[in-house]
Amino acid sequence: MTEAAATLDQFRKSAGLTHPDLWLRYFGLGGMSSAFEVEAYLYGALEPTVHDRDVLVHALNERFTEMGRDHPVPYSDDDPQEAPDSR
Amino acid sequence: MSQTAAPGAFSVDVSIVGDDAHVAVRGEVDLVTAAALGAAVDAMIDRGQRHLVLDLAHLEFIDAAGLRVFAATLGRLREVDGTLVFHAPSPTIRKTLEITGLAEVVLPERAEPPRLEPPRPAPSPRFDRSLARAAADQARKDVLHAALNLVVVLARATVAGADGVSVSLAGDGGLITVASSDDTVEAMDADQYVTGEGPCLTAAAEGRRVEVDSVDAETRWPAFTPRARERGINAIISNPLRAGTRPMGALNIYSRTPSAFGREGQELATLFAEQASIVLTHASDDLAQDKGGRLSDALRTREVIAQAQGALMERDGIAADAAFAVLRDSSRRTSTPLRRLAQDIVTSTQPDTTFDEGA
Repeated sequence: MTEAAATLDQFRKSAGLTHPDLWLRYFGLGGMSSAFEVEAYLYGALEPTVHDRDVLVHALNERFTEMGRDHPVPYSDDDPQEAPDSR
Repeated sequence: MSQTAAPGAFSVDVSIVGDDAHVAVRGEVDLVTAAALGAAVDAMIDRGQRHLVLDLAHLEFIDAAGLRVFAATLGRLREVDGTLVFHAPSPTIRKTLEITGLAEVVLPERAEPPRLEPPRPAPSPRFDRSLARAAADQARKDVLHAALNLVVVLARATVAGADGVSVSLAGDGGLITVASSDDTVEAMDADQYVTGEGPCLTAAAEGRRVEVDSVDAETRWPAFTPRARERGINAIISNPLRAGTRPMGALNIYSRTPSAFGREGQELATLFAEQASIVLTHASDDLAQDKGGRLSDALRTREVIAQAQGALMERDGIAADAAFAVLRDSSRRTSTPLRRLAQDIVTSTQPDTTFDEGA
């Protein structure tokens, strides 16, 4: 059903962030959704807007950058072929 | 059916009434019992029920796991064009639903099935009093106050033509000014509270943006307008503030110059009002306590980012989302945290910064 959301939550886990951690980062980047809504996005119960999803993706990618990984989570305007972690 | 369960004991009862599946939840929904609730609700949806009424009259407590069940249920019902109604939540549960935003989605005006009673008390027409009071209480707390002050300072610095900015919130006895850039604006707000009219009051009461392009040509508020003129104020924008979708007050921007705010000024003012509304929406207790100051930090970075977005919008004539895309793209290319790029833009004194051209 919501593969995109499942993937985001997997990224969240491998980034070692709790849901509140991720929300705080997302919020710090100007995200407009509540902590609860963000959790619902990750859970697949709500669909984020393209912009909202990109803010979440960037929050994850900044975390990955801190961990020495180069932006593994693709943005909405990335070519899906170039997604680093696929195949 | 009327089992004499211990207080707090969880139970869930399901019955079908017409097209509706009624799910009566009792006791406490927590990590352990949420699964049972989820299973009961899923079973209803699986057998083709599209309209669910969750009877919460005897729900005593719900935690995040239970809320996730609600959200998941809502998600499933949306996929089949179904509906979800929360019936008779206690004030505490209702507040929880409101803070999470679920209530906005799920408490629409919908005729209650006749079996269920008593009806919910009608919401007060202009402001939800309990929320207004909660926000007024919160306003005294440091984090929220600091955040609203930050919005005021940044709005004044960013919106071209702004000479003063204030935030009015609904309190017990009407609107009060909780943050302002200077005494003149505070007096301007007070003029409106005293005369009972003006852009701030209209914006707060009607939940829409109100603009005064030129006080001299203004006819809507005969008692307030002369006072504005006396204080040398000539243009005003008042944007409504909300907690969730509830009207909570207004963000007011004043200028001495007639027609001071162009379309850009209006858009930026709206952006700042949205920022302030988000702050209000999240002004729940645990956030206000703000362990370790992480929320204050996040508030600071988001304000800086909003300001940088505003600068880019003005410079490149692009929308807010596009401005964010520019920032995040640059952040990725240079492996620099977005907040630092935003800070550079904001502190940069050079009007022609070329940070986003391929470095």
